[in-house]
Amino acid sequence: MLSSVIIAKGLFLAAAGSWVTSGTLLMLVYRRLNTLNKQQAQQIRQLQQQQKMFREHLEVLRQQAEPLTIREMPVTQQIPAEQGTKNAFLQGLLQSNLKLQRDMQQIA
Amino acid sequence: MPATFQVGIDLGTSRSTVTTSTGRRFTTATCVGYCKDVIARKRFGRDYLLGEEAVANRLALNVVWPLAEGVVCEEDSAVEATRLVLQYLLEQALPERQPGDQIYAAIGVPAQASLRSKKIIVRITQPLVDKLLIVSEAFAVAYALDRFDECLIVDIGAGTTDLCRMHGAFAEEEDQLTLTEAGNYLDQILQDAILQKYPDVQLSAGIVRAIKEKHGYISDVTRPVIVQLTRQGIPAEYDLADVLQRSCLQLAQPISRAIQTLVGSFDPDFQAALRHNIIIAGGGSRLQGIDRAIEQSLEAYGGGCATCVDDAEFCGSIGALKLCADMPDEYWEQLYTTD
Repeated sequence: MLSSVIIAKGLFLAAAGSWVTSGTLLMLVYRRLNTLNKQQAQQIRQLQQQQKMFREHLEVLRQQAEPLTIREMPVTQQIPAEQGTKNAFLQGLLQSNLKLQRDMQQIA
Repeated sequence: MPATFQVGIDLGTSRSTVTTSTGRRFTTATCVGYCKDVIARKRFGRDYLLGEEAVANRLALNVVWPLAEGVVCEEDSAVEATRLVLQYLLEQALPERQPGDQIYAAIGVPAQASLRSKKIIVRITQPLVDKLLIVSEAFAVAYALDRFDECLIVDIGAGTTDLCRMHGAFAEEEDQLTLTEAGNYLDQILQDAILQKYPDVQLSAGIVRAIKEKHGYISDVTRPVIVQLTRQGIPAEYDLADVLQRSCLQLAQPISRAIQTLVGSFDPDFQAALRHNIIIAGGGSRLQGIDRAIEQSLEAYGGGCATCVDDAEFCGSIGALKLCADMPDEYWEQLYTTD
């Protein structure tokens, strides 16, 4: 009878012990996951912050890029090519237009 | 004191753009819609509508696309419509213009436009501006990009595709080519291909153009392109991926052949440099993967490198404006005047 009681108590203690152990383990896992979750949330916030900064930066760049088109900057300042090269092209263009002008007059 | 305005104009088959020395840019559809009847005239309060307004109200109008073939034809209606479009462009781009102010204009024409076509353009434009410069569209693109040496410009418009090789000197006729395989050609083969695959779907020129502009691509990577079309008025979704890819490739092939023609007839010492500096402009440069398709076709000839311009819509008119701005006064003195 006594041995049965001892066995029952032993079983009870073993069951309680395993329950406590598994509960502790679950608690540890939960805490770990919670920490990871918080870290991920923080990372997401950081990424969102970076994304916002990139967008703002992009907007600034876009606004800065606008004057590079014809809109605001005087056109003559936009051409980095050598003046000599450009003059040769403009001379060629003038000659082709003068030829067109002559041909048109001949047809007329 | 009267002001002098400089303007660059790209008079395109589908869209026309203008860029001015005052910093304004404007683009519109190259069309005029004349009212079909009295009711339409009463509704709009005018005899005709221009640009996007004409396209939006096309059911009540007879719409004229004066540059349907890439150049102005000699019909009176086309000449008058072109004049109205040009006038509209200048009015929109230069609202501050006062009587007595002068306009110096450079206007882009297809690379191999005939003398007759150029003459019509001059005749139409002269009453609207004070000085006029006619320039090849592809050359204007090169000038906009400051690419004067060892490069090949491919300007894919709606009516024509213009090619121009730049070699540090003014591009002569033998340096340029004009193809009729362009945006409208692609629209037609795309429409035929869609109807071949789905014979009962209902298409219009506008629907086909919208599909092309939104989904047009030339790529080995096949992704589904789901488009909603109607069959007897009932909408349904259709996958047009393979149809689009095949059709777009049909446009790339003649362009690649023309590139090879210009490269092949160039100085052999510089052929490789030309092949590695191909610049694609115009509305066709928006076709996804057209640069890669052209590069692939050039592999058989030693390889090449093609890039698309950033500002496909205004590149031509910006180049024309730059030419205007750089033209010395003594050169202008010799050119066409309204007198």
